[in-house]
Amino acid sequence: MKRNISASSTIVKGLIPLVAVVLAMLMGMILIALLGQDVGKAIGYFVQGSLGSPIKIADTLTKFAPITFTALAYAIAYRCGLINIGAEGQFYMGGLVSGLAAIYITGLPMFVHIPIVIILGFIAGGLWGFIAGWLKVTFGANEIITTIMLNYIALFLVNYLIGYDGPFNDGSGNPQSLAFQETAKLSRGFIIPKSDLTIAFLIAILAIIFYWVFFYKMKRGYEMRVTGLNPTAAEYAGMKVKSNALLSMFMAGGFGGLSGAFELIGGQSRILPSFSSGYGFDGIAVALLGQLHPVGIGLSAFLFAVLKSGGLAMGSKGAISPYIVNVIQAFVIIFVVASVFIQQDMEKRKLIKSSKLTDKGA
Amino acid sequence: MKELKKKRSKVSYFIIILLAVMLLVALLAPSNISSMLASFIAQDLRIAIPLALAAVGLVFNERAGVNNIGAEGMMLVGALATWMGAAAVGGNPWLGAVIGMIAGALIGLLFAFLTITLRSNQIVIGIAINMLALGATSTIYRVVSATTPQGVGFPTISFGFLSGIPRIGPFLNTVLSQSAMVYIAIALVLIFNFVLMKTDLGLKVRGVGENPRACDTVGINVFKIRYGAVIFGGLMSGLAGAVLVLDVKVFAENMTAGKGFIALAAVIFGKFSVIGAFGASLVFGAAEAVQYLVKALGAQLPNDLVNMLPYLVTILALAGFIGKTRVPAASTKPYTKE
Repeated sequence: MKRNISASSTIVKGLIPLVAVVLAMLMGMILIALLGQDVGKAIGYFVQGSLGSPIKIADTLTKFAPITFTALAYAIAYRCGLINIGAEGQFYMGGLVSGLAAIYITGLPMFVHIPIVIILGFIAGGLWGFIAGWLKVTFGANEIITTIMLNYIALFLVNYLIGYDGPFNDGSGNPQSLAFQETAKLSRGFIIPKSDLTIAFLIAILAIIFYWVFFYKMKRGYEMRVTGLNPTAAEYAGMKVKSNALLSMFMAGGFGGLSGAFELIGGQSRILPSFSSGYGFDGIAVALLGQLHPVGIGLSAFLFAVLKSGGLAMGSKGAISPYIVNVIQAFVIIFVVASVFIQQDMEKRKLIKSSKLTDKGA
Repeated sequence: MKELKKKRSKVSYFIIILLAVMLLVALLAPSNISSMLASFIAQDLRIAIPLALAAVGLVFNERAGVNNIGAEGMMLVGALATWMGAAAVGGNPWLGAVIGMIAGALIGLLFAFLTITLRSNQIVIGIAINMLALGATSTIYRVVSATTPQGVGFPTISFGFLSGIPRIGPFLNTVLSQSAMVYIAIALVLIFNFVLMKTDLGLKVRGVGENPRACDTVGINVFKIRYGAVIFGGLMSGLAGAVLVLDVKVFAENMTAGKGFIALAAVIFGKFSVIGAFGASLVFGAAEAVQYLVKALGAQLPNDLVNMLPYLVTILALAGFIGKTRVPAASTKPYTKE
């Protein structure tokens, strides 16, 4: 396929996410208006709740890290030609294992305990992703469906283990685990004092940089991209297609697991039932909106963090459900994905036009 | 062809043996065991019906080459529309269900437009549809919940007159006295199995999912067939949502809770056939109904572990541990006319 990299198409590419977000917000507002609610007030709550004060901004930024990690979980697999819908399950498994490590590993200093907890979270999520990759390369099982199924298995597994009769219940009569050791809790107030922001924010940015370096500067990442674009060609070129697929699912799952790990040690500080608020699916939307580009993912993750905390504020103050955010997010995805068609259509027309011009010239 | 016949006879033997065992238990077992079994079967049917209805729609989707993971959202929209619709028309469950089906079909139309006309990625749009449905239904529900009356449900068909028959009577009464929808659903399963496997239309649907290019060259409108299949899928998912909401008689936020995905699992486990998907729905329904049976026996089995079963079974089926499942060749691939 020939791609036209003219200045105008680059501008269009950059503008699309912006237009999509504005249109999606508009759809959300229309829904609010249709339900007979005060749109002006709703917008007020939204802006105030997400960006109204330094603390509010910091709280919005705390949502940046888990969303970025799950977006990378989608993007890394996608680069290798695999569709990972399983970030939600990888989030749960990462959270579960790192949570257990944060409770039951004792007597370590913080600077040892926290890295162990985080690495275990990465490995647990990675293995959960690896299962789907292994089923794909060994049995040809469709990874889209297996990752969705693994999401539910992880959710029910966590809810069982910490449930009333589960082995890791704290015995309080509530479905929850014991609280984490003090040595396994991230300290809050990172950059902005008294906020909930933790160092996870910085690690998320480092993860984006790693994503860029790995796929654009390293041999293995290059091989993965080739595998994703054309597995047959990759095979002919002597690349190990299967092991690349397995590695990419492990890495993707690992980032999903990191997301869960940081969410627990930086926030809830114990394992609660259904502890993800849909971060796995946010990640898919963010990766798409950012067009799998490192900078795009970073900006989209920030935008979704704003949407999430603003929507939450709208939900807690007015009669509007915080679920309104899902409506806006869904329309963002729909508009971005639909715009690809419009772009292709535009390029096609341009090609036809230019071919006509050359015909005349000849 | 020969192989197909052989397979079917295996299934029918299995069903006959199963029915015989049930009757034997009903006749010979002490009455408390027989009544326990009867209520287990009744629960299984009740749980399986919405799964089976959505699965029937999804079989047509999948066979036409469209992978629709948005059934979950379509069910949810169908459930809310049914609940509000039934209340708006004065508590008529049938009209309510029709409204739910129309709502599901409209979401199906949106899905079809985005994936067939605009050729967007089916998986991504499926996720977006689920997000949209969860967001929109929860937002609307919160506003209308206080003013929408509850309590509309399908009428139950009673077989109380059978109770007089000794031993077998009460058993049959418990199993057969179901919501009228159970009988309609079973009829629909048989009808749509016939449509898919024995009619010209069914052949076209299957052809479009295997080799759209070839279908196009012989003059079949690929886009039309796929649009039809997806809208039909939405319609059936909407009906499944209607059955869910009319069963418990009130809507709840995210009340489908993954049932759309279990229906998809049933389609795969049932090897993309209507009857197979219905059978798989009964198996998954049984997994959930076991909870009630276990409770009745006074034992304990964690719900969460039981809930895992359908998903685990689906993975095993996909990996080929439970017979080999083959996905239609053109699944998830948008079609472009050159």
